[in-house]
Amino acid sequence: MEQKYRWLLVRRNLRAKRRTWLKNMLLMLVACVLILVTGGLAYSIDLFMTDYLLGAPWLRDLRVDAFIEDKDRVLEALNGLAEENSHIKDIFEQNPGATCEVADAEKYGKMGFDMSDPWYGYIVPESDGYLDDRYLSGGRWIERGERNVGLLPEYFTMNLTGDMQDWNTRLTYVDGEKLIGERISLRYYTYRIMGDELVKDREFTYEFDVIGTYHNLKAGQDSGTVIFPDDDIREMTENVERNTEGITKDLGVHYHVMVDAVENMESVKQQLLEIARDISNARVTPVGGPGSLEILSDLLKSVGIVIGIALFVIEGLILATTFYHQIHDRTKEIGVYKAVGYRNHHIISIVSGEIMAAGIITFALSVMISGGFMLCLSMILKWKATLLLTQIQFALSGSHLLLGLVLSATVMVLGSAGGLIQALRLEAKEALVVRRK
Amino acid sequence: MELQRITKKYGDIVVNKDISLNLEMGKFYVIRGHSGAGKTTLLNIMGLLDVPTQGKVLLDNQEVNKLPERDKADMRMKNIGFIFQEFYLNEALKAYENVMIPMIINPSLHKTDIKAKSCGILDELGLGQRVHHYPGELSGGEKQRVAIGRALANDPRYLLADEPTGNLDRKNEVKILEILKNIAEREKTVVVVTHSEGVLEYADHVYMMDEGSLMSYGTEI
Ligand SMILES: Nc1ncnc2c1ncn2[C@@H]1O[C@H](COP(=O)(O)OP(=O)(O)OP(=O)(O)O)[C@@H](O)[C@H]1O
Ligand SMILES: [Mg+2]
Repeated sequence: MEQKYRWLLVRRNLRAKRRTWLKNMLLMLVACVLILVTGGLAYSIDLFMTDYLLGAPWLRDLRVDAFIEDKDRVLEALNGLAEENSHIKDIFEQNPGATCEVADAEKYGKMGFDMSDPWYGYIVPESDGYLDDRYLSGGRWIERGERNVGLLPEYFTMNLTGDMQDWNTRLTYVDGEKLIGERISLRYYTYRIMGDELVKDREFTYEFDVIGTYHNLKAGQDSGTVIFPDDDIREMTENVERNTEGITKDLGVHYHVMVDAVENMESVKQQLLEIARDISNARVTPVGGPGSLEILSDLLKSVGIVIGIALFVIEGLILATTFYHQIHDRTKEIGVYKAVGYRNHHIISIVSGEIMAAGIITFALSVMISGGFMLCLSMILKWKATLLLTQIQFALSGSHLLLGLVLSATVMVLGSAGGLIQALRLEAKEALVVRRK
Repeated sequence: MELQRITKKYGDIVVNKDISLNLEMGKFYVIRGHSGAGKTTLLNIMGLLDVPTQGKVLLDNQEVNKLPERDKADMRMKNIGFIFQEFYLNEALKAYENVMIPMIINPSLHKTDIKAKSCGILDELGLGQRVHHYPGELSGGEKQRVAIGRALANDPRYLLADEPTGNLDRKNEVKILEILKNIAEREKTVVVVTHSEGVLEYADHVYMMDEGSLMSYGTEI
């Protein structure tokens, strides 16, 4: 039988039975879309995490806090641990940072930017180790001994809004690259306590040339953290300390222990906790962690697959009964096929063609719907979400496409097997008999 | 085609009793008999849809009743056309597509434009204006003509019709019988099983079936 005519019969039969088929296809469509969408979401989040977040220093950062008088003991213990544990890449003391305010922020802002708020950002010394020249994205890194230069984030927001905490839909991003070569004047302050509140006391200015940008999204943050040479920071800090009574004096020491990879965080953390146990009031805090996103992606994957498969099973049963009845209703048609000389393989080829066509249409539709959904989602995120989340590349996952395809095919084959066997068993003389009363 | 001493039993019930019959080309046969006499059973045996309990069916001097089902299916496709009282058209297919059904599996029509061929057959049956209609849009007489078209699709030598006019009025019955007579005159063998008296004037041979036995009722009336 030529394929052309096989598909003609398939098309016509599907059309004639479209009600029944549509009902079945709809359920399978829902099941398939569910598996594809949840699988795609989990896959995209996974990809985003391994590609973006897991490389970020803030996810590999464990902080050890202790009293200042234990500083030497802590440092010794940490260095000892670093020597025997190769997963520890770096240990450094947290430099006292400062908040700053950029004069004339509006000059660099884009249209629609709220000019009433000046730009607040963190300051990080170059030797901090948290960010290094691997994160350079434009311009150049600070050279040894250089003064009054700084690196800006590639993109940054005003007002220190953390992407992971807030869904601030009105963020405007400043393009750091455009500021390379500019001279920026920055204000920093000393504070004093009034009642419960910290208020600005004295103001100092600091001028710097923007010499480069660093890839702050890969570093996992979108705040306006600037990197300055150590000497400049020391000068600023001393300036603040000299002019402040008490409050910037920190009675604690803070060490960052940088681990080589996220998966080794837990074992290093356990070892640090052991050290901390021997030192009174020492604490170990994970600074960041994939936590909620990872759980979300696992949850999506399993819930999607469980519900999807359950729907498929239900669909298989429904298909089996409807198909069985359909074949029963079609005994005359199949009887005629047999009477005019159709062999079993012809009949299988027609009936399986109908199942295949319905399955392929359903699967194609569900790929289109799921793909469209992912597209809409990334469009909505591009429009509404913060910059970090817009870095998620939403795509359908290959393994879930395969799973959806295999499940659809299995349900189609199993669901129609009973009816098909019934069709093959049918004898024309029985099918075409007219029972007269 | 030749039937030699055909007997068909269901358990103890003998439905066809020792029937011998030689079907000649170009003749119009009519088998009559009351309900339950075994007419359809005999027709099914001739059409290789059923097997006799005893006896032989010979086609071109070859015993065909014992062939495996797939060979019989091939023989049906090439040699036999069926016409049923209830037409049994596929409601999902247009008239010409119904006629195409047997052609689709015919390997000797592989390169033929079977759409044109089936439209041609319908045209000859006076349905030139109806080829694109679905069965639901046709009258009973027209439906039966489409069914005749389907039976003629692979140009078989034998046309077996079980009560072909049972669901039609007299006017349409005449039309169908004229067509069948016409077909017989083109060197085909037509066998019609019927209760109807109206067929007799078209028949070359009339047989009477009574409790499974076939008797010649008279020829060339
Ligand atoms: N599969 C079967 N099992 C048992 N008995 C059967 C079977 N098929 C037919 N019969 C019996 O064989 C007898 C002859 O049936 P058949 O259909 O050949 O009669 P018929 O002459 O065509 O009758 P009608 O004019 O009503 O169509 C009937 O008594 C019928 O009940
Ligand atoms: Mg009968």
